[in-house]
Amino acid sequence: MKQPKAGLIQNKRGSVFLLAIGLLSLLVLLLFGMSRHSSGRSRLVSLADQKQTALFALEACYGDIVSQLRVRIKDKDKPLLNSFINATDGQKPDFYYVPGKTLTSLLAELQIDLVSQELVFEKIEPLKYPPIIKFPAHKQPEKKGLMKISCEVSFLNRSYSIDVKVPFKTVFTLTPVLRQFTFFADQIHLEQREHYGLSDKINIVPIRKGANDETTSGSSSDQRLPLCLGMSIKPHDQINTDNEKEGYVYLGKSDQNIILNLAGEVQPGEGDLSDLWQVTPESFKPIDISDKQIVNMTVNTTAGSLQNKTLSIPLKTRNTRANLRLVGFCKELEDQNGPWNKDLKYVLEQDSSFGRYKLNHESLGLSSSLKLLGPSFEAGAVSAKVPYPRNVRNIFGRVFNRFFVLGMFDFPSAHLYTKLLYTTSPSYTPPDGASSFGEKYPFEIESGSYKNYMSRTMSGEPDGKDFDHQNIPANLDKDNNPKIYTFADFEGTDGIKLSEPLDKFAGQWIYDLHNSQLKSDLNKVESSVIGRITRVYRNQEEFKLAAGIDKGKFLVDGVVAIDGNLTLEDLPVTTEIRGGIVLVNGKISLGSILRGFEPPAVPPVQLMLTSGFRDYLKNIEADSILTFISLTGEQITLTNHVQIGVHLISLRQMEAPETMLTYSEPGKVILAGAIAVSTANLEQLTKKFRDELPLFCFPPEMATGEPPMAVVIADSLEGYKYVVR
Amino acid sequence: MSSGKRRGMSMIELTITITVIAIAVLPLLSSIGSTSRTVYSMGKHQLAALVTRSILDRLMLLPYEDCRKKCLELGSEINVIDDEEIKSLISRIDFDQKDYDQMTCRVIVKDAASVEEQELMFIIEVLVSWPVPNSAERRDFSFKTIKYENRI
Repeated sequence: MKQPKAGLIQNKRGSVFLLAIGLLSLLVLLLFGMSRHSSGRSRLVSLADQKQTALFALEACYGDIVSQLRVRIKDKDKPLLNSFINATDGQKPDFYYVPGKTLTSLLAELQIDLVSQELVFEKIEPLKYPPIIKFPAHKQPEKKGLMKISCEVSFLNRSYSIDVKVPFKTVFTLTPVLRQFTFFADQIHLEQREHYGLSDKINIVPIRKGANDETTSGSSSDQRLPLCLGMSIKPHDQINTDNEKEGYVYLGKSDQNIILNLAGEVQPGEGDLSDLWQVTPESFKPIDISDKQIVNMTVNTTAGSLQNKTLSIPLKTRNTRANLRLVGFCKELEDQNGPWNKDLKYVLEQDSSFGRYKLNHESLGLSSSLKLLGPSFEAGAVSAKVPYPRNVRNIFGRVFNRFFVLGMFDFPSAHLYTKLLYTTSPSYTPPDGASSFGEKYPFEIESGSYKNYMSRTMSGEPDGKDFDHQNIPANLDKDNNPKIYTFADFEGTDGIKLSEPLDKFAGQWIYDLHNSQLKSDLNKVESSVIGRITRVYRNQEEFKLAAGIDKGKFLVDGVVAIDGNLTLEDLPVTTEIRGGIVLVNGKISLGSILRGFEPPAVPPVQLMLTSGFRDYLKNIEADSILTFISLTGEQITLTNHVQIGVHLISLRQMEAPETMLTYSEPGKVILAGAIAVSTANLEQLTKKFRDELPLFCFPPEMATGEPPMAVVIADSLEGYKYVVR
Repeated sequence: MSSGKRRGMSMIELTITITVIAIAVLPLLSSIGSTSRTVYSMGKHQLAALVTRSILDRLMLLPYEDCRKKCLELGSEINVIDDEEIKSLISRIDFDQKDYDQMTCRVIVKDAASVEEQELMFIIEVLVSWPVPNSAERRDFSFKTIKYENRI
């Protein structure tokens, strides 16, 4: 029995050792497990860190590529810009990449090698145009697309690569069609509900001696001067044949007549606002006007003899002439004792157009508040011997010039002067003239009919034929014949043509950012200015920061949108201005934009007579023009008086004229650029010009045949792929 | 021999056994401790990496000027939970507040390597550090990249 007991004890002794060995084994296993777990986790952590380090390095790589592209775009690297403008799918930009020094040093520090990089265009699409625009097939349209950038690096024997797709757009930085108009008012007909009397808010500037009549207004605050669109041609030199360089004018709506009273004078060249120099012999078709001129002649009136502009036409009977004397709107006409009054009253007794002035006699002294061809070339410093400017600015719309013709049948050698009365009778013949010797001198004309020679109100009844014996369009065609220009006559210097009237343009091009139609109709987005937007700012502060105003710059580049109002103080920037289109979803207020220009002490309109200013104007580059568009069609306020190189646009449908453009206070107004407003509200605006005749002039480069195009690389990405091999 | 007597383990045997076990277990225990410290350190490292990346990503999203300004603001060392923005950032990460205890961060801005590039870019390095338990030593971790000016 003892032996088994000893065996039991032996077994017990073995159990302790076994237990100890088991315990040790467990501990070893636990340690091994923990060690493996720890080292596995350590490897994973290390890999994750490497992966993230490589990713940041790759992002720095494609950032460096984009940064270099942007620098070269800014530096106007033509081959690169053209490769974007002409981009097609699969094509590569004209760009040789060398990693920047900063990137190189970063990669060296991280011990990462840049293995390769590649850039390829993808998904290139032309931007659409609205139905009104017929974009020429041979021109490169605006585009959008993606630029795929692939970069590969090697880091700790692993390969890492990234593919990003960066959106870009190529967009014009001037507004198509509108850029060619120095003044575009698509609903200015609302300011002329009637063509006579108190409802006529276009012909509102009082004229005396061919100039502004300061004595008419009761107080200085009632004084007004017309909106004056200067011209860059040299009056003494050859006449400009490049009409587009002067900027076009459009007064709409396209189916409404706009009548402009030409300011008159008693002596030729008497004042800077007299307009009769605009009337050419061609206006008097169907009279044979070959080799005829309008000249300054002496005329006998009831008030005595005086000088005025006359088209003198020889008649069949020897030494007899028909002299058509031009009389414009001025206080001298309104004056009961003025030189023209009694004569005109007599000869126009039957003219219903003239008869309407009896109802509001004072309007005989009011001329147009729009000077579409600038101030008189004959006035002031300019010689009276000025050739008549021909075909100098294309005026679109049914715009007519209104003035009076005092028709005379003259036989000067016999001192016979017979007034040619207005008549509606087709068979009327004026009485023969008779000399003191009893000889008769019949009124026998070479061409046309009596009504072409008689006294009449020109453009008094424009509802009739567009161009007949009494309706004179303000526009001249390329052959200097008066002609109404419609959308069909528009051909942009860039080849754009129009398929609808000009007053339809704004409705198809400009939309409120929050317009509900845009959400439901993607086509409206893509074919309008909204589809051209390259950057959107939530407010004006963001925009100003991005434009670099705080750094003395103003960089727009492309088409940017601000969701709200824009108020810019005087812009002190002189050189670092990069143009573009600023879409403002609200009101716009601008201070001066001088670009280093120093406003002269002389009256602004005299600037157009100086070659220095004309040259300055010609040197304003198209890609530096700043276009401000109120998408909501709200007021544009100019808080200071000089803006150089700006295009101001605020267009929207309205029922009554509204103040779309205003100056916060009167002053010497100079605007080198263009204006497009639905209504100018001339009644209000012209009061702001009471101190000096303003100057609105057109930088010829705005009408360039190659409108500037911006290449804008977006800040965002549309594709991102990161691969670890 | 007293075969009739019940014989257990002698005191000597027991002592030797305990001593052997103790000798064997002590390094094992030490190794376990070391592994635990490594695991703890890994956790901190991961957390630091997460915070570093989050801060850098957030800085990179800012406009260039704002980014530079913010980087300079974060130039001196701060406790990660003392900065409101970082606090809000890490509140979205599933760790306890105590995990960030004494974890500090700072942002180092380096100018571009050439004069031409200095207006166009700068290097950002986000550095996060944390203390090693029971030691005066601190560990740190960083990511770096380049911030580019988009308005050129």
